[in-house]
Amino acid sequence: MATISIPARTDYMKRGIAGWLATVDHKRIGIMYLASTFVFFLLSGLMALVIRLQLAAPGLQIVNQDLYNQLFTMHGTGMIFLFTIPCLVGFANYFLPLQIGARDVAFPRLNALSLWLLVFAGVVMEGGFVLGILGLLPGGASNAAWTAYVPLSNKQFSPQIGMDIWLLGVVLLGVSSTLGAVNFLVTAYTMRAQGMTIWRIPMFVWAMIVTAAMVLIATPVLTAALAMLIADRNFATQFFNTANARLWQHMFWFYSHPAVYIMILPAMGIVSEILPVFSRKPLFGLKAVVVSTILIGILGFTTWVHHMFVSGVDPIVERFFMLTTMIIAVPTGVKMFNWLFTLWGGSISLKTPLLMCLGFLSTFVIGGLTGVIQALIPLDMQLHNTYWVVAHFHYVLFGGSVFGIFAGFYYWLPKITGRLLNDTLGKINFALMWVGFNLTFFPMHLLGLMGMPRRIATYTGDRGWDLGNLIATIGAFMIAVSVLIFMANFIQSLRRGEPAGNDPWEGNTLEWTTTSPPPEHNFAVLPSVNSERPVRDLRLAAAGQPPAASREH
Amino acid sequence: MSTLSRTRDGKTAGAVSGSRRNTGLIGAVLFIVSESMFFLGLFLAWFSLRTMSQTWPPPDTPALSMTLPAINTLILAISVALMAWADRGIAAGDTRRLQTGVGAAAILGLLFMAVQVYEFANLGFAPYSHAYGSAFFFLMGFHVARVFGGVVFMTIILVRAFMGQFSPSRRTAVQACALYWYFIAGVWLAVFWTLYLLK
Amino acid sequence: MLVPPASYDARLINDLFGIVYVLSFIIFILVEGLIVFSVIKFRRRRADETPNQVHGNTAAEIGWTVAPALVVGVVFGFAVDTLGRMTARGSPTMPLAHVHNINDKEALRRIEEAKQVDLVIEVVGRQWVWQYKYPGGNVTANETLIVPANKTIRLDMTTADVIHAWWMPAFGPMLYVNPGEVSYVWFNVPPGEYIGQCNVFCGVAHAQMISKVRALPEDEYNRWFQEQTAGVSGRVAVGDPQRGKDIFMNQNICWSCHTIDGTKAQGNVAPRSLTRFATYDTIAEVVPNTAENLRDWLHDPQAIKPGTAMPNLNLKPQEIEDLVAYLQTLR
Repeated sequence: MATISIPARTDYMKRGIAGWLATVDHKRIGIMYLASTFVFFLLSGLMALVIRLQLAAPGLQIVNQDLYNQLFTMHGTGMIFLFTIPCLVGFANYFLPLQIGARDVAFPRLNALSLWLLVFAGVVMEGGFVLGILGLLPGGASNAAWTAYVPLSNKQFSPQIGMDIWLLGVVLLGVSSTLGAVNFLVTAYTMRAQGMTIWRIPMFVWAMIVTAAMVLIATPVLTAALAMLIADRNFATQFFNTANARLWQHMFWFYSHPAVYIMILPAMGIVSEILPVFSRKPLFGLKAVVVSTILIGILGFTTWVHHMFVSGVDPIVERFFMLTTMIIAVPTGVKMFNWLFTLWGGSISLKTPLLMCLGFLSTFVIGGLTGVIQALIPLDMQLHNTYWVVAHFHYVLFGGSVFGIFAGFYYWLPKITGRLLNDTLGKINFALMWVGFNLTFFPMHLLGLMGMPRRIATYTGDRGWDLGNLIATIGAFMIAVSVLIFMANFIQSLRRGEPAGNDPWEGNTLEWTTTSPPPEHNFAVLPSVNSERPVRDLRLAAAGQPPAASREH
Repeated sequence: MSTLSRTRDGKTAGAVSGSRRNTGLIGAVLFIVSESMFFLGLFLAWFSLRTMSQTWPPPDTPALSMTLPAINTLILAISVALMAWADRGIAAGDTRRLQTGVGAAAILGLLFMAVQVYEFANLGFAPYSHAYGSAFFFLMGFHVARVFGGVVFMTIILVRAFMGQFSPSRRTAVQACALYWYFIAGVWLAVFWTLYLLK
Repeated sequence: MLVPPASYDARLINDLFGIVYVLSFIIFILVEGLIVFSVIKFRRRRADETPNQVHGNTAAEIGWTVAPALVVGVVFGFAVDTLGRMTARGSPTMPLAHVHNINDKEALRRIEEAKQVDLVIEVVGRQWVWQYKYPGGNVTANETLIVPANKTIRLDMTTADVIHAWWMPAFGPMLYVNPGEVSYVWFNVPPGEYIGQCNVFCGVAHAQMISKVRALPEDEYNRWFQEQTAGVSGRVAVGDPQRGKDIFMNQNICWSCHTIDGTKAQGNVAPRSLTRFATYDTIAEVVPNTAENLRDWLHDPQAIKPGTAMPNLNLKPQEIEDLVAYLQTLR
């Protein structure tokens, strides 16, 4: 057991603004990641509420059509690029080094650069949108949807400068997440604690390894496409001038389909951390879960053309991608069953982190199944670009990623702040969010089957879409209330929350051996790792029991 | 400076296999992976535009001269050899060899850029002429940008070498620089083959 | 699908959806059931209980790898079979749906061979209207496509600007219409009214890009077609404001971009409201507001004001007369 004496004080958290701006400490960078992405989450959420208000009844004109188009463009961009992806990176910043028993990430200054690139890009993109509303940016923000399909996004059809701001923002975000990916991979590879062999790596770290590898491979292709579009718009190059609509789609989806796994795998990692802790059982089939994570990462690169089944791709190619898309259901199913059998026979403590995980499992399964349905070319030809698709990816990205993120908040915020969140408020938060989520997005399946296309600013009353949309709007406001409750819960926990102690949950992984919040150097004593649940081993040893069967995998 | 020493501490304390010195090199390899994917994207665009077009290059495009790119290939080949020679030198503790090799390789890099700029001016078409021109300039231009990056990197190495910062046990930055330079040369071969040789 | 299928393809899709839906529902119940059962049965009862530390089970892992793989295989088989049946009928799917080059004679020949077609209609999508051109070139239509029922119709679709997708939910498949390409769609439907709309986001007024199909019995269709042809070559009667209003609000799609207070026209694409149009000095702020200028404007807006958002709607002379009469009543 390596011992290094360091001061256990945590007052480094209290240094002034300058201390925060100049910091290269992974924990403070992690906190800033989480805080800034949460602000972007609130912004994108507000946009979603305006969208839902506009669609609450036929023919409403809460905002004009152009602003509506900007709203859903910025909602999608914000939720994907400014919230889900970087928020999970925020968790990784704070907890990946702690979980592997390291004192920081491999390249702390690079880490700070990633953060500030993200913040800068976010401020520029959201700022452009706000300036547009105030009438200070002619033409407003980008309004060509987050997919920015050419030729709609080229100079002729989207002449506004807001479109260029959007493109530059996405480029910067790509650079930010690429730097982060290099950092996490090197950290996880070279800086693990003594004894943390491959099958003892925590599941969240595994998820981040695969995610980072995907970011590293996928993002530069999008950057290349963005560079081409920026050049087309500003320097009159001719990449996407006429008959090349599919080139953009290929390059865009080569990144943006893996992006779905970049958003869901870390959330799956969080779920794989929390379920064993709150069931007092090891993760069922650990190796299978790891292998399926890696397989999802690889297969994630072989499916992008399923976004283009009606774009006119060669039929043989389409059938190949239909098969690969369906095959992804197999490793995903393996994970699902392993999670279910982690719960099975356990001693399940129904605290909020676990409830959020159950929210993940119960809704993500729907997103997975609708994904397979849509993967079938004949069905996709009918469902493509309808509200069915909107329902499907919200079941994956909200039902999956966002529930995973909130599980992470309830599980890990006590470690960050040193204070527990109120569990009753947490349960109310969960209940409202789960019910609100299903009210919002389940009816969208039916709207899609009724033929309602996505991205329409309004509809007439004769199409039979009124009721489903009204229910969805009510659900959206329930989600908003649940988020407000979460914020209230967080603020009250800072003021008078119960002290969390080192290990409020009987955790398994190394972050629970150190204080909450951890000292500047993370660990006073670096524990040695003899199983995939080192902290449980320590707990048992302290209780005078023989160390758990440190079963070798 | 407490920040710096802390991270140094952290690395040694947390490392599994004592591979602290390798972090930089692994980081460089991963960075090169992402760079490769960027060029893969540009090549994808090139070949996709090529298959979509009736004629490629478009009619009336002046024929490309093979002379300049051939000279440039030679320049890069020599500078790669010099870089490898310099890297071997510092591995054996020969700082002088490192300085000479990297310095000469950097000058050749500058020469490559000069030849490239001259060629751009004399191609007879521009990035905005047609899709062919756009893709041509993108591949060449982003490659030259990497050459420039490599030369900057080599300059930093050179300055640090004159400050005596490298030794056989402390040369990760040199290795990373050499690796990146080999990568740039590799991309050049792919660009040369695609733009000039492939019929 | 909640839209009753009207075509052969839509029925095939509907059948496949039924099969997959049942399979999915079984898996859904299984998973949700396991969650609910575990949470109730295995909830923590004593603070100090320690469950049996089960690390895994290889047989189970193999089981839940192979079983989903088999389900996926079976479903893939069903999907390929459905595709095969659609293709065998030469329907809007592979391999002929997209011809990447408008001048590709060979592809066109294959299309002709693949399917005996009763009627070919040219479709142009532009921001934000679908325009239909019937054989012979004299008859055109906007928004509502009128076709003979129970005949096989082929649409040859192109776009004048961005990507659009012509889609009738009741007919099943949809296809992108890409710049520089022709997309083909076939259908054969019973008499009735069908509604759908553009299914690729195509700019500001994407939501207004609605298309309707009215399938008429053959004799009614022939009568309609005769009338249209006569309308083109025949005399133009004096404009009728009532007919003009009907064109504005129902037969055509003017209402979707323009606003006239107190009517269903509440679009916000056009910059100025038309509520008091007859009192305006100019048309589109370029030419004086006279009946003659209004005729020219409606005939070809781009000729009067290049770059205007108002498309050429291919209005027939009689329609223009009626619209002018209607617009001049707006005070």
